[in-house]
Amino acid sequence: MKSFQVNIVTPERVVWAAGAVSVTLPGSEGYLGIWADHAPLVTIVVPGVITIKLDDTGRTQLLACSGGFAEISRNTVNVMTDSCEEAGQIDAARAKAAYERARERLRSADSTIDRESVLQAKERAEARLKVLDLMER
Amino acid sequence: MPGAGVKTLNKRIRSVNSTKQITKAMKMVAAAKLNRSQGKMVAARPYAHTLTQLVEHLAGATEGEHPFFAVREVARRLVVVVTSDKGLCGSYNLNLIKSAQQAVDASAQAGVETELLTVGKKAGDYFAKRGYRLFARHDDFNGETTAERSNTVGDAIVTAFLDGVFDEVRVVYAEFVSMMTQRPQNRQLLPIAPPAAVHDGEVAALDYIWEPDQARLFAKLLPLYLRNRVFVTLMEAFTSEHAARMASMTAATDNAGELIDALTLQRNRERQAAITAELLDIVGGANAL
Repeated sequence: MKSFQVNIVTPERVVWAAGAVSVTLPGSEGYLGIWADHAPLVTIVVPGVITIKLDDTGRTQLLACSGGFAEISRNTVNVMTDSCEEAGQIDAARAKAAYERARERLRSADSTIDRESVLQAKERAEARLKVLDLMER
Repeated sequence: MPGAGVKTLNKRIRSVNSTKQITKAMKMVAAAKLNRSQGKMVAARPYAHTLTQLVEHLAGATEGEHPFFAVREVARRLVVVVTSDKGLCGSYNLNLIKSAQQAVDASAQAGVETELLTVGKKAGDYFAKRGYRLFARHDDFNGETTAERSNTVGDAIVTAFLDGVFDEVRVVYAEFVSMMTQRPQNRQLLPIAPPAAVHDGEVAALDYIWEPDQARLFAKLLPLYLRNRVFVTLMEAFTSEHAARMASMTAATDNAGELIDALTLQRNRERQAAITAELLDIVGGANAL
């Protein structure tokens, strides 16, 4: 299978820069699968799981990302996101706690809460937990 | 008695020597911090670069004005100034504060209400003491930053600008030119000067699919772009700070070394003089017998 370049960058570092045969990204309009020779595309990325298929043997890499952007052009995928972690870098207890806290706050009727940002926090925690869950299987 | 001079000189040499050891240690700490800071600055470049590229692509493709580009008549201005929390870095803070004060005074004279946002204890103390209006001050960065922490500053600026609290935001910080040179810069942060649309044929020829539409993408992208500008600016300023501190501590260590050499020479001379005088006494006494 033809491979292409995948770069994932956060404001602080380059998380991932390697070739791949396919990538699945959490776009604002739903997950999108990208293969080589994809049409040029720019999309908003929402918190979720990025799945990178490294080669034809089926080796894959899972990453939990928070919101950002992705640009696909000329067989290069550039993902810009606030944070992005591999399974090994995720603190399960912390993600779990963040998830519970966000849910608690969303349920309360307190109008001073910035619901948008709490919702984002919940989605980020969900993405992290999902990566851990997928890795266990 | 000549011996007394030797004693005081010895004492001074010891004291200068211990100062030299301290400045040397500080130089080493600054060098380590500079190294780390520079590494982070380099690591942050790919993101900033891709983001800027994307903004340029979109600027050409989007119609309609975005509030971030809106040039309003300036009635209120915010000046962000980035200094260090600690001293012992030569003229680094002085130059920055001078530059910021000029900008603020000029702005106030032109009838514009001007407030300051200070990062670093030095600027915060200086301007608070002289009765300048501080919009906010951050004294806890301590010469390093993460994206998360700089975002709190970036978000506050964005919110204030969009709410119309300020019509223009400028930032005064030290540009990192090289290890030896850091230059105070006064740059406009908001409104964003619309980046020139990219017209190099290769990129413009690409017919992008936009998800969702371009206007919404742009609206989401610009706050991110601004936050990143703040982050990059802070990192550059802090790198400059460590470089300035290292340079001034290197100079201090060198000066201490020179002082020790001069004092040692003087001490040896005095000791020799004392010995000679004693010898002359003895020889004179023996001859008299």
